Amino acid sequence: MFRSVFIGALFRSMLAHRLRLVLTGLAIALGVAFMAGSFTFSATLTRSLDSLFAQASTGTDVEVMHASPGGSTITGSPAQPVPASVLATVRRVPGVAAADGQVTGQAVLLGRDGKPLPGSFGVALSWPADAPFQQSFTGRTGQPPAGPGQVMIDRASARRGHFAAGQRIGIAIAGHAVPFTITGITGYGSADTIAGGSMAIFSLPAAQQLFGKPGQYDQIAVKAAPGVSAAQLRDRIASVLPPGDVAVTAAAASASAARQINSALGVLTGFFLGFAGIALFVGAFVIWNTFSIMIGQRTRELALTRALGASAGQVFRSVLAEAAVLATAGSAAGVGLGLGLARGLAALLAAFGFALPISGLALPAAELAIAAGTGIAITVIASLPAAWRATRIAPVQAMRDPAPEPARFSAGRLAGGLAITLAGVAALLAGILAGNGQIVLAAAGAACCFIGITVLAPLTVRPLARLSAAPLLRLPGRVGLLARGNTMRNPKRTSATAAALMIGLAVIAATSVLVSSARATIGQQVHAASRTSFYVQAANGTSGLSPALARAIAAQPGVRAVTEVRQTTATVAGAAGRTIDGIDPSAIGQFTDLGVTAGRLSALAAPGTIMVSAEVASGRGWTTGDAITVQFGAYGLYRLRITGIFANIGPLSSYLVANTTLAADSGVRTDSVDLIQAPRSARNAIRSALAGYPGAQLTDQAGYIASQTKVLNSLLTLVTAMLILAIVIALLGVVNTLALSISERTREIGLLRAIGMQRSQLRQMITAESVIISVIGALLGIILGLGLGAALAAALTTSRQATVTIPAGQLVIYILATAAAGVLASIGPARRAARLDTLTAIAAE
Amino acid sequence: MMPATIQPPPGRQPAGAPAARAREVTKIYGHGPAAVTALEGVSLDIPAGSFTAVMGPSGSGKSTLMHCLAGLDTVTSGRIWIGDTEITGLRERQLTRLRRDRIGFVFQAYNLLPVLSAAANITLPLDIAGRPADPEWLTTVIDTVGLGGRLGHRPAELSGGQQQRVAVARALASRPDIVFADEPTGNLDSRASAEVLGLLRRSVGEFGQTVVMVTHDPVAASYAGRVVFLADGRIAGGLDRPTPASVLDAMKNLGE
Ligand SMILES: Nc1ncnc2c1ncn2[C@@H]1O[C@H](COP(=O)(O)OP(=O)(O)OP(=O)(O)O)[C@@H](O)[C@H]1O
Ligand SMILES: [Mg+2]
Repeated sequence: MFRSVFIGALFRSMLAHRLRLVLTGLAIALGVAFMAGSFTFSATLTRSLDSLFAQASTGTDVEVMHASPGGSTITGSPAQPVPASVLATVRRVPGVAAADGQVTGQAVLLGRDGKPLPGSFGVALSWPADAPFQQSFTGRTGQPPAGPGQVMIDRASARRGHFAAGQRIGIAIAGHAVPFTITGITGYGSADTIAGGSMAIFSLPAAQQLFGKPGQYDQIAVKAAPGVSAAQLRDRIASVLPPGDVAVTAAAASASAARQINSALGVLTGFFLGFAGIALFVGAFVIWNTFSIMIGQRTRELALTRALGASAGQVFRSVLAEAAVLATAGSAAGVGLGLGLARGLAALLAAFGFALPISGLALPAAELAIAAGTGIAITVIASLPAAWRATRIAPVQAMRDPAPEPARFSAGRLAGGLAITLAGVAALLAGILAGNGQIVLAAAGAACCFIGITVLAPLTVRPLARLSAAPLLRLPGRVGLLARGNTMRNPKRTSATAAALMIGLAVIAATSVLVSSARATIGQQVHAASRTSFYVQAANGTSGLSPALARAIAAQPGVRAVTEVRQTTATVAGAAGRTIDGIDPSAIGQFTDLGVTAGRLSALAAPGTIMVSAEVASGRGWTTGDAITVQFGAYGLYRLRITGIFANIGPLSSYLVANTTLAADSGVRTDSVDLIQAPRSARNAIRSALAGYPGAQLTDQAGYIASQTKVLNSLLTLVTAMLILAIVIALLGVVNTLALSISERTREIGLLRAIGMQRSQLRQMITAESVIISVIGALLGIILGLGLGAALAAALTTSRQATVTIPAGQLVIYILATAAAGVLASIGPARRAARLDTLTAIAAE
Repeated sequence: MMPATIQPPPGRQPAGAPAARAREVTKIYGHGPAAVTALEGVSLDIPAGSFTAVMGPSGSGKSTLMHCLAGLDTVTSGRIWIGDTEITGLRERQLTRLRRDRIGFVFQAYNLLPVLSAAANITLPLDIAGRPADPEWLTTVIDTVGLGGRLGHRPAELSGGQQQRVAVARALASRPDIVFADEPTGNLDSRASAEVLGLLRRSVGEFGQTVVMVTHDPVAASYAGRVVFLADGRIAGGLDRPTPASVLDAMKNLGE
């Protein structure tokens, strides 16, 4: 019977505080939504890409290509071509109905203004001669390309650029604009184009000529005769192929390509989930704090129920029941919101031209259950301390006034907080420096850090409140002082509220320190070593610049020297994603001071050699003469001998090979940047050489550094955007704390109004409280983020040239932005406080 | 005795002119059948420099009258003036400013802001107004309420009597036209009550302050110069120069 009374009371109290309920539920729902949305979006994307790959191989049963793993039209990593003779061999295999040699490459469609059409990438394909292989090109109008100068383009680009068959179009190949006539327009499978990119389809001879593969194919597509299975045909073809070439079933090829994309997607999903985790963690802080305040406020009521005979267990369960109801509702709402989020993301992708063959959202039931379960578990766990505290309320407290607990300096708290924080920092650094496998350790370390700082935070509230309130003390009518007093009266509550904000800001601040340090390091490296006056770079989305451009620039009056730098990414001695630069060993010394410390630069001209930076060499323990394995994308695996070690990276990367080596081993024959020595006055002459190369960009040293660090800025923007949700959740916590403390202080507010405080002043006071709490959170976060960021930056870069830079201006902006967010958070509570009826407030219990 | 340098606050009405006036004030709470008439046709003059006690049975409308006179509540009909200013019909903002600048309050409890020291509580209305305190006047007030050593303390560190004295000091600090006190001694023992009441009487006698005090206690009422009796929302009588005994008598007569 008692139980039902209890549960009834529970629901009444929950209903009485609808707003608080909604805010608290939202704190958990948003994190769950982020998590559920990431899962759903990634499942939807995976399904769409699977169907895309299936469409790509429609009509094909077996593919023949060079035996390097991972070659794929869609991933765009170049594979070594197959000689034409292989096609003849394949065609003679019994059971082959049709076989077609195909060439792929990169080509960017240009709009009528000569600028690349918007889109993520441009694929060049050769038109297949046999009907079965033409099946994926759906809804064609016009004619297929038949000769040089002819092209068929995708329907999405035709629509975007207002192109029709019969019209002329410019296409940038290796940065150079080449004019073509559009003979036809095509879709791709069920979509208008290939996964958000553009398609340029040339005749096979034209493609071979354009991409420098005369008499060669990137792959051979084979159609089986009726009655022959793909596997049978694969085995038959494999038995006649020359060594080095392989046959795979189309199904296996598309599955392997899908696997590659999915593992890339997995990284992306992991990235999203990381931020969802932060959001949930912040939500847990908000729940914890809200429940603590609520139990504090209900002390009298709970003591009364104890006095009336309720057991500690019943009190405990009643608090947990409230948490569980909230958790379930919040998590369910979160899953719903997450589905909406995923749908929104898909729509956003479509709006950016990345229209996927999406047929509704995929609903990954298990993952959605995980998201909801995480939300529920986190909420209930976060409410445990409050529930436990509720059981410690003695019945006599029903008769007493709730005394605010002043948090005094406690040595135990200090020692405990420091210990947890330091353990967290150690785990975080260990996790990050250990590489890929230790994300969990790093995350646990970060969480420990935050918890440790939260333990310490009450000790810092007084000084930090003084600091953040200083500018507010000028507000007329003492509202700043009152606000400061109000935030300091319960340091634990203030610091717990601020701690939720601290988390997001700490991550932003740490990232911004890392980014600004990396930027400064790059700038310093380029400045220190480079003797280059101008740089011509391949623009985004362009595969590279034609060597003809370098020759054209060199011919300009005033230009003293030009050298070509090429680039690819490779797996070097097991480390994936390393940038390797191709250089001209005889010329590069004029453009940048490499500071060779061992070996000789000229030795790099020999095939099969590589130079590495001193930083890498000392990190890996390499010396000249060592041989290291280098896997150039899908192209091939080579053993390269280290012929030299250099100290200054300058504008280059840590790994250098000769351009000749790069062309032979990776197939890269275009330039990523041309380095130019010329007086300033030659700028216009150089610019004129760039006419006809829409993919080329001319910059000076500063512009080059800016372009190299642009990706870092985008990273910071992305991280900041991802953390906005965590910050919004923390702000919900601020709103909650303000609302709860206002309801606690009703009588005080009545008094203030009675003795003449205007509504506007009261609003200002609440706003000032919010700003003070928020700025405390920002300060804590920035202090912590600075520490973590500087430690990471120092740990990640061992080079002598590396510097740790503190982006002071940016940090000030973060503090101001948080203060502004605090103003927003206070709007609701301040209005409620100002609306309170003076007389009722004075008389309030 | 009052120090010779201390003058009554400037701008005060000549003695005898009312500091507050109510004419035919009616206050009805709620509508229809649930309506409660808390005040009915109350007319009253509070002379400047007087100490008036308002008495009456519980629910007779004492607090309501005080709230209406002080601009904390609106009247249903009738008119009220503070000094020359008619406050019935003033807007919320103006009423708030009037309370801040021209009225002092002492409530039964929870008079002080816990986050401010006693001294800061005393100057709070001035601070809210952004008006500088007159240091001489402030010293006088603080000396009078006798808190010397405890000014830096928070309210939680003061006794109930000390808290009420701080509240009185706050009410006097801005030299208001009139101080309203609603059962200021309701929570105090007789010694602390005597201190607070003595303080209110001295503020009238020495500084010419006008004080209106609601009370249930005949002894408290005897500190006033005049008692006004309320019953069922109407003025039911008055008594000049009350003593505890005469107040008790008058109350008995009211009950009949
Ligand atoms: N906000 C309100 N709403 C409705 N009725 C009210 C309200 N405030 C007071 N009343 C009613 O008005 C009448 C007068 O109330 P008031 O508080 O002025 O009495 P009082 O003389 O101060 O009583 P006490 O000595 O108990 O303090 C009472 O009947 C009371 O119930
Ligand atoms: Mg009353």
